Amino acid sequence: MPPLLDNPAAAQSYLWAIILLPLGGALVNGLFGRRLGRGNVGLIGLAMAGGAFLLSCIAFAWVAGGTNLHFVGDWWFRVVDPSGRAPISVPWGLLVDRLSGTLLLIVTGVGFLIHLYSVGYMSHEDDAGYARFFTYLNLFIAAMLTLVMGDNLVLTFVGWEGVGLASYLLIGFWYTKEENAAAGRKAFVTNRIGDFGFLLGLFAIFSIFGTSDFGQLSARALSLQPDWVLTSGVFAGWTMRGALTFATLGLFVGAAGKSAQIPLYVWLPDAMAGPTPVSALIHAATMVTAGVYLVARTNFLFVLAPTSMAVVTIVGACTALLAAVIAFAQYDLKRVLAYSTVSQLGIMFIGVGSGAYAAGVYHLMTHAFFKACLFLGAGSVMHAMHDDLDIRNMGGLWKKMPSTAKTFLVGTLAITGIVPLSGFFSKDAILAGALFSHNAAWPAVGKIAYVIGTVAAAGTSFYMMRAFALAFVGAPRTRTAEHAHESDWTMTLPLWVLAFLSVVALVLGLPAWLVGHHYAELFQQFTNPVFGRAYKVLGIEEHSAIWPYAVAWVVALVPGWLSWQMYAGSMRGFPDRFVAAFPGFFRLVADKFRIDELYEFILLRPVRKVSQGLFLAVDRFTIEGIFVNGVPKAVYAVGDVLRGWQNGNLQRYATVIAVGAAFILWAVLAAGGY
Amino acid sequence: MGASAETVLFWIFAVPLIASAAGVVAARNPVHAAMSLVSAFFWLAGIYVLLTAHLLAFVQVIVYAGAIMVLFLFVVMLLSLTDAELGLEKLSALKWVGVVGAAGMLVLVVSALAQSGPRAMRAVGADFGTVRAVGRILFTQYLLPFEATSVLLLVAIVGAVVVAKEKI
Amino acid sequence: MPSGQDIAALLPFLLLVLGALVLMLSEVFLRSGGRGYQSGLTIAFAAAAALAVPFAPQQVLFGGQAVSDGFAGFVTMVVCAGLALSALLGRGWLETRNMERGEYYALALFGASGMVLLGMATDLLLAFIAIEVMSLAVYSLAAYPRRGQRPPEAAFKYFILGSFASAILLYGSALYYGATGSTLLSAMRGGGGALLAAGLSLILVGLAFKVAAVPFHAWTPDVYEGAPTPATAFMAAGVKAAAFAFLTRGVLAMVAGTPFAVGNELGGVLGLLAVLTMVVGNLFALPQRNVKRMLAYSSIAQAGYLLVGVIAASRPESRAQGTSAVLVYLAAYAVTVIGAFSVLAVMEKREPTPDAGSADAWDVSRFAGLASRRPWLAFAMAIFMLSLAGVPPTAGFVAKLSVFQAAAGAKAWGLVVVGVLTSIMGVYYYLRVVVAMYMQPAEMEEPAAAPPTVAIAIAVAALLVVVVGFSPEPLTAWARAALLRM
Repeated sequence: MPPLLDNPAAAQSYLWAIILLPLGGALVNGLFGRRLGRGNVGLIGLAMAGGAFLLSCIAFAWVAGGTNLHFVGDWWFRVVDPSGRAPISVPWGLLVDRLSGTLLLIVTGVGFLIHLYSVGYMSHEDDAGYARFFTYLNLFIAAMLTLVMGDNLVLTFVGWEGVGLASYLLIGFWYTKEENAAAGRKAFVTNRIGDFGFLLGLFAIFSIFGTSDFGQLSARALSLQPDWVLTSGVFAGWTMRGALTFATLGLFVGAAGKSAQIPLYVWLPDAMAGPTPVSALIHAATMVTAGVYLVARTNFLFVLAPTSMAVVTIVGACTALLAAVIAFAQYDLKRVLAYSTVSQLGIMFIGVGSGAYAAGVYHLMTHAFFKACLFLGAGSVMHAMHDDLDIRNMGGLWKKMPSTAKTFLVGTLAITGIVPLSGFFSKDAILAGALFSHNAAWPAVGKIAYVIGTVAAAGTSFYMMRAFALAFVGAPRTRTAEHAHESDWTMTLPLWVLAFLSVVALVLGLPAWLVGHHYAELFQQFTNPVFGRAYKVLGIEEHSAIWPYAVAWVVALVPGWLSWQMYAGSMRGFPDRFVAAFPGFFRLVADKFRIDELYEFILLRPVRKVSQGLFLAVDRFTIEGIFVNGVPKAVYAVGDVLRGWQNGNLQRYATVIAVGAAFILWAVLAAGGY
Repeated sequence: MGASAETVLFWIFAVPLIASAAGVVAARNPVHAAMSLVSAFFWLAGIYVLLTAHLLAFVQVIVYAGAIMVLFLFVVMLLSLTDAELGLEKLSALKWVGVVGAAGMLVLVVSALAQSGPRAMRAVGADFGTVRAVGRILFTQYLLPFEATSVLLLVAIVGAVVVAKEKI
Repeated sequence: MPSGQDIAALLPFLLLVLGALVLMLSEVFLRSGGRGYQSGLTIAFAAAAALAVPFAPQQVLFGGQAVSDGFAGFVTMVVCAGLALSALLGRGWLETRNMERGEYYALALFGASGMVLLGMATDLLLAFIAIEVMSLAVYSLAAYPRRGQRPPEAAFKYFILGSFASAILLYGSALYYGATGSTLLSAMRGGGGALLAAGLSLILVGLAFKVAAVPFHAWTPDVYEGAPTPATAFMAAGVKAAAFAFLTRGVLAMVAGTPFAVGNELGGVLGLLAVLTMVVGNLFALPQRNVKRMLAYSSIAQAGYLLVGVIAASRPESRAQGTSAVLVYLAAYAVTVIGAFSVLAVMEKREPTPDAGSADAWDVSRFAGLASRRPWLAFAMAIFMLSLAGVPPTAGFVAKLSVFQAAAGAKAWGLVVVGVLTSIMGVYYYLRVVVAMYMQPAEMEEPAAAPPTVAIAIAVAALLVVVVGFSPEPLTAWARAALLRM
């Protein structure tokens, strides 16, 4: 047997290679890419992502077998106090347990598929752009792996910044469009706000525990009493609970920035300006879930701060609903998917906020599969439609692009949560977990989140089915749609793989009693070593109610069915059914095409009014007006005023010096009482 | 020499010193400014004498008032700036701010000096301020700064040449 | 009387002066044909001076006016590294403009000797002379390219304002002498009173000018922009290191020994200066499209972070932490900023007269699309920008982290918050360069190739920045060791 499979020590010393492979690929492609030719560039990018995936599989095999891999690295930096002790030291350590191992597989696996897809998708780029794209993509994989595998918060933060940078570079990839550059800037500024929260949380944790190592933090956090009063550090005089609430809320602000939650979600829909594989990989499958991962990773801190958990839950629930409502009014296929991502992320936060950690991470995984599949499908459509993404201009693509259409349908069914696809199990597990959770700070929050989340799920079902029906069913509505053709195999193969994964991931959500053991989902059992202690603190018991499953099923099915009737039915010539379903409503309209308009006028208008209102109020004014544009503008204004004193005039400079000197003299003498 | 006589002498030197220093700043014609500076150097030398720093007083007169100021004047006259080039003095708001700053500094330093009160002068030996005594201090206690000054002068010369000459 | 030991301890300084003399003589005796040896000689003398550091006896020199300790050794090393790197840069820059002369390197060596002396000085008189040696050399370097109007104008401004500041420093020293009867820094131990306070305040003003702290910073952008780029690089790295070294020494002397009321007031003023410097430096840098000017404002902002370190050093509980943080910061900044200016030197517009309408000579648009044309150069510049912004894993991050940690150790939370917020602001304008290089289409003509020596300087600097970023322990350990022998 090779040592990697034989000996955990050998395996963990290879952990860094998982990060260094894509990083090396980024370096080589970035520095020599132009000279290598596109074939080699693509090959290097693919090989590095694939190599990382293989190594990840080996690592995952270890953790699945029950052995955590922990690479204890050398010090990166230390802060030494006068006595020579090092109160703060940050090592280059990597940790793969069942949580990070799962993420590892998702990142490298989906990452590899999307590299493959990009080979075909980016083929229109010139050589330099092609090399640039693969450089950024590999860089992103390396950063994301650092985020996932870092064994301390500082290393996670390094990865956190790295993925932010890569995402920023990729959103603005087609920089010649002003709109894209603005989108990149928006993502950048909103993420800065989030990062500031993360840093606050990080410093708070350093101050409370003196370490940011997950293992040590977990050991210390679970051995302490929340009512202890801290005696030293920044939080001297605070109770442990209070200090931890502060720290975890800081971390959550960071998570909300990265994972696009209220009020920092606005960058994500705009980020769709980037190439579609990027939307699939970064803005759907991996990076945006980093916030969920962070909360799950620091579960031992959050469980001691119930207020923070309540905040996470309610913010997640509100985001899920808000984004779902906004998605109703969108016609751009990628934007529908983007708001849907925001909404799904909200649902994940309901999970990790209400203590259903396994469910949250499980949904993270299934979402990565089906949303990546949907986005890549959208990219395939975009190729065929010559970059037109308006679903009103499509129609009838089912026949033209069979692979894309079928996989898109699988993705749609999975996200709506139709049995027996994976989305059903993961979403239901979250909602049921929220329903049966009891938060110490706000007992009702779980039930509120359940209701809001269920409404959001119903909305999801409706708008996803609408998008599918408009795009793929019926007759082509434009010449472009008529002449659309299927994409290359490099693009359809990843689609099929992801669609397949979206289906089979349901296995992990099957209640284990079907197989024999006691009542818990497989994935929950699998991650129990990571989350088990948190469940114990929260007092979560295994629930056995069946009715939430039934509700979830109805919620998935009925709106989806309605939507199908309204959009596909009419288009494909089933007016009878439509009229039968809505007799009073459709009797007014004879023309099929105007059904849509009328429907929109009566039903969607108000919704869109509301969503537009929300959009304007929250998005354009508050976030964009104040944070994104306001802050730089104000700063520029101040800078301009101050620059008046900076015009190259010698006497003016000397005057400033004299006045400054006089002021210092005065300050010192006056303060000294002389 | 009694203390009162010394005080009288001090004021005799000090008031013209301040006046000529002010003249350096206020004079619009550079030649006048330079001449005011020469006069200031002379009055300052007087104060050095009062402090029994005789060598310093002579060096002040010979080197500054003699050599350096002559050089200054040569340069000023060779440039022969016209009134138009010198421009008209305008007391802009900016200058008033500068004046306030400088005056504030003066007031504060004076008040600090007043706070620390009068101090008795240190009694000095008979050879204080002589060439021998200054030389001894320079070559023992202040050897390092003294030698470093030689580097300073060299840098100044090299720098001046580099800046002044188009083609070295 | 000075002993052989004293001379041995002064060896780095003496070697630098010797190097300057040798270079000047070589101009006389050697034919002008075989150019290129000047930078080689400069680097050799810089290396010799740096090598002499470990052999210098650790002792107090010349009756306490100077001291050759680990702190001085560290500063000497930083200055010598800066000198060597900027000489490499100067070689390429001056050669392509056909103005390589021995005087340039001689002046740089003189300047470095002043900086080294300032790092050792524990006496106001000696410090003043050292500052003047350093400053006169740097003024002349700024005016070195006699062509065009910009360099002489920059040098003239620097000279006038610098003299003004020196006068204030000297006046402060006089008041200090009046209050304590000595110019030794150690003489203020246990002292007090309004006179000493006034003297120290004025000395602080003079030093604040040299380190470009707000509101005594106004000269910086004009001078940095107008001076020839290699000289700017040397200025940014060396002058800052030496002036901060003396400022730190002065502050440490101020708080050492008996409790001293003036220390608290000056500490407050220092805090105010630090906040002003961080805020104003970053604010001004924000709208700059001219990269050279942006780097000038950035150097002001960095002075603010360094002041935070000095304040931490002034508190007893974080004295060692703060002092070593300042040292680490100085080293990291020196390497980074020389690297950044080296890339800028390659990119800048080369014109017959450097000033003819050269407002866009360093415009950020010149960097547009650099990543696809000169990937290595762009990569190095990206590293330097990230380091200046304090993004891990670079030397700049390590430096910022240690400074902020030291400030946190001193419980100076306000400074930490302002520091972190302003560095987040800083990311914005540093990344503008990165964005231009990686995310904008190329507009300008193909940039000239980097001369080999400049390429070496850039490579060495980039390598150091990354190595320190990944494994800062040797540097921080060295800085801590420097303190033990202080």
